[in-house]
Amino acid sequence: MYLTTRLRKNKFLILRKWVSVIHNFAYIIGLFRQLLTGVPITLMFILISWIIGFALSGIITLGRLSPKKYFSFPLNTLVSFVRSVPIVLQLFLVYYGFPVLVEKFIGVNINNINKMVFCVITFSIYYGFYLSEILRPAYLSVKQEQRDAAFGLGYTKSQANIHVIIPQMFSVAIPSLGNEVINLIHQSSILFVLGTVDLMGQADMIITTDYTASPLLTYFCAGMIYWVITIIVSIIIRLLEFRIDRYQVDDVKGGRTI
Amino acid sequence: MNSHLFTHDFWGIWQVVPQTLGLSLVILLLSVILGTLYWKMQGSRFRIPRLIYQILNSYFRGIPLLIHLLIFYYGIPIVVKVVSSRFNLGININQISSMYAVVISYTLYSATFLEEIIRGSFKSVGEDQLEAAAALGYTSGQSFWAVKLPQALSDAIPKILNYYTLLIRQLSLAFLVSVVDIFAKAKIQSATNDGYVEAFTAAAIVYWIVCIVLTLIFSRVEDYLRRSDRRVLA
Amino acid sequence: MINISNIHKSFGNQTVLSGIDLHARTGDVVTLIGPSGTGKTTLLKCINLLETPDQGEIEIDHVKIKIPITNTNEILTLRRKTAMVFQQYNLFRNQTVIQNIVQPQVLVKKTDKHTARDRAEKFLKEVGMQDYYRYYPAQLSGGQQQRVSIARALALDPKVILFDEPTSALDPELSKDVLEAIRKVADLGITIILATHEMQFAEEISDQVIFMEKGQIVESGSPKQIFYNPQNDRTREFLKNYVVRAPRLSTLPTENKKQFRVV
Ligand SMILES: Nc1ncnc2c1ncn2[C@@H]1O[C@H](COP(=O)(O)OP(=O)(O)O)[C@@H](O)[C@H]1O
Ligand SMILES: [Mg+2]
Repeated sequence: MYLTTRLRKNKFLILRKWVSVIHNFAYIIGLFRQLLTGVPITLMFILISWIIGFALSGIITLGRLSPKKYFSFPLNTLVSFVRSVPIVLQLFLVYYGFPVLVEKFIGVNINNINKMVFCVITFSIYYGFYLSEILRPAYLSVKQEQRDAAFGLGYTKSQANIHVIIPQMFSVAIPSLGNEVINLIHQSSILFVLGTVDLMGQADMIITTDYTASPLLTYFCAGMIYWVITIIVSIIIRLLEFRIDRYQVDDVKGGRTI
Repeated sequence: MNSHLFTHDFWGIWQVVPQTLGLSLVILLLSVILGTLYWKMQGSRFRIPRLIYQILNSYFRGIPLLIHLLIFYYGIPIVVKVVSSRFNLGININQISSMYAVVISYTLYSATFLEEIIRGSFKSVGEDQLEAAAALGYTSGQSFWAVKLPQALSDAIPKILNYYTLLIRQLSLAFLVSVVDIFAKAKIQSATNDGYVEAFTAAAIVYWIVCIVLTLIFSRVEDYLRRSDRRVLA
Repeated sequence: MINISNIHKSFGNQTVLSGIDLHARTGDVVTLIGPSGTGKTTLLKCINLLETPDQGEIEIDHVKIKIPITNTNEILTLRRKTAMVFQQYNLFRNQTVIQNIVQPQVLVKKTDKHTARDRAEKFLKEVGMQDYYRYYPAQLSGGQQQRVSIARALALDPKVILFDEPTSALDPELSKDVLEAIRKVADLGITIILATHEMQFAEEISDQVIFMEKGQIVESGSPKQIFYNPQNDRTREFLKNYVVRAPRLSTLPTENKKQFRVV
C-alpha cells in the first residue's frame, strides 16, 4: 500500500518534471522570438551608421591629409576628442545637447524626434572620425614608389588615387575595418539606455515589463544572438579580405627580394 | 549652458578619476595574467586546452562587453547562493559588491585581446635573433629570458598601455551596475542638478584631458622602449 | 630631341644639382655615371618633373617648360612624352602583369582596351615575359618585374625612356635579361637616358656618357673618350674602381683572377 502510493507519487513527479522541461523550452522559444523582433532594427542601424560613418571618414581623411593647416588641425583635434570619450557619453551628449543647439541656432524644436536619429547621428560621427584613424595611416603606408610610378607614366592625381593608391590602401585597411564593423555591432548594444527597440532594447523591455523573467537568461539569450551575428559577419569579412588581398599572397615567400 | 553648474560638475568629476584609473589598472593587470594563460593554452601541444581557449575566445569576443557585464552581475549572486548553501558558508548575497561583476567580466573579456597582443609580440621577435642566441651557445632558457622576452616586452608594452586607455573608456558601462566611474559620476551629477548638457560636457572634457595626458606619458615610454629601432641617435 | 639646360635643385639647404645641361638627339642613348648620392636619380626625376627643379629649362620633343612653371597642364603633357623605369621596379602591386601594362595605356593614351591588350602582349613578348601575364608583381623575381616594367614603359610609346639604375637591385645573373631588354629598347630607336653602374654595358650601348659628381657634370663625351681617355682626374679616380669587372674575368691574367674571386 505504502509502496504503491510512493510509486504513484514518483511517477507523478517524473511527469511534472517533463511538463516543466517542455514548459521551459516553450518559454525560451518565446523569449528568442521576442528578442529576434529587435534584430532587424539592430542590423538596419548598423548598416546605416556604417555607411554614413564610412563616407564621412573618407571626407575626414581627405581633410586630414591636406597640407593646409586650417583643414587638418581642427580635424585632428576632433579625432583626438572623439577617440578619448566613451561612446555612451557621446550618445548622451548628442541626445541632450543636439536639440539645445538646434533650438538655439535654427529655432526648431526637435525634442520629439525619433531616438534612433540621435543614435545614428552619434555613431556616424564617432565612426567617421574613428575610421579616419585607420584610413589615414593606410593611405600613407602606400609607398612613394607607387606614386612615382603612376606620375612617371603620366597619370593625373585622381587617376593615381583611384587606380593605384586607394586600392592598395584598402588592402591594408580591410582587416582593421572588419574589426570595426564587429565593434560597431557590439557597441550598438548600448543604445537601449535611450529606450530603443533594437535587440538589446527588447531584452531590457522583457526584464522591465515582466518581473518573473530571469534577467540572466534573457541577457544570455540576447548574447547568443549577438554571437551568431558576429560569427556570420566575421565570415563575410574573411571572404572579402581574401578577395581584396589576393595580390599579397605570395609576398611572404620573398619572391620580391630576388 | 550654465557655466557655474559646469565648473561645479567639472571639479566634482575629478574626484572619481583616481578610482576610475585604479579600477582600470586592476582589470588590466588581471587581464595580462589571464591573457598570458590564454596564450599558453592557445599554443598548447594538447587538444583540450586549445579547444577551451577557442571556445572562450569566440564566446567573449562574440558577445558585447555590456552583456557579459550584465550576465555576471545577475549570475554571480546565483552561483554564490548555491555554493554558500551547499557548504553552509552563510554568505548574504545582497552584500556582494557589483564591483566583482565588473572586474570579472572585464578581465575575461579583455584577456582575449591581451592574448592577441602577447602572441603578436612574441611572434615579432625574429627567428634570426633566436638563431643568433643558439649559435652563441645560449640554453633555451637563457635565450628566452635574455633575448626573446625583452624584445617581446618592448613590443607589447606600448600596445598594452594603449589598451589601458581603451579600458578607461569601456569602464563607462559600469554605471549600469552602479559602479561609479567618470561617466557614472556625470550621470549622477546631471540628475541631481538637472543639468544634463553641463555634466556630460564636463565629463567629456575630463576624459579628453586624462586621455591626452596618458597618451603623452605612454608615447614617452614607447620612445624609450623602441630606442634600439631608431636610425639616428638623438 | 631633348634639351635640358641649367637645372638646379636643392632639398632644404642641401644643393643636389647645380646647373646641369644635357642634349640628346632622337634615338641617342645617354648614360649617367657617378658615385651614389651624386644626384643621378634627382636629375632623372627632374626631367619628367617628378621633382620640380628650382631653376632651368626642359625641352622634350618640342614641348618646352621653363621654371617656374606657370601652366601646370604642361607638366602632364611633358610627362606623357616620357616613361620611367625605376630601380625598385615600381610595378603597381595591386595589379597583375597584364593590368600593369594595359591600364596606363587606357588612362594616359586613351587607347581602347582591346588594342592596349594586344600591344601589352606584344611588348611582354619583346622582353620575354609573355608567360607571366596573370601574375602579381609580388609573385615575380626582381629581374622579371624589371622586364615587365620595361614593357610597361614601351607600351606608352614614349619619346624618351628614363632608366634609373635598372639593375642595381638585382643579382648579376638576373641583370643579364634586363640589360638585354634595354638593348632591345635602344634598337627600337627610342631615346634613352640611363643612370647605371654597369660600366661595360654603358660602354657598349651609349652614344654619350656623362660623368657626374656632387650635382655637377664633370666630364662628358663618347664612351671611348670617357672610358679609355678620360681627361679629368676625378673621372679617372672613379673609373678605377670599375675598370675590371667580373664579366671580363676571362681576359685577366691568372693571378688577378684569384683576387677577384675573393672579392
Ligand atoms: N626627396 C628628397 N629629400 C631630401 N633629400 C633628397 C631627396 N631625394 C634625394 N635627396 C638627396 O639628394 C642627394 C642625391 O640623391 P640621388 O639623386 O638619389 O643620388 P643618386 O641617384 O646619384 O645616388 C642625396 O644626398 C640624397 O640624400
Ligand atoms: Mg639613385
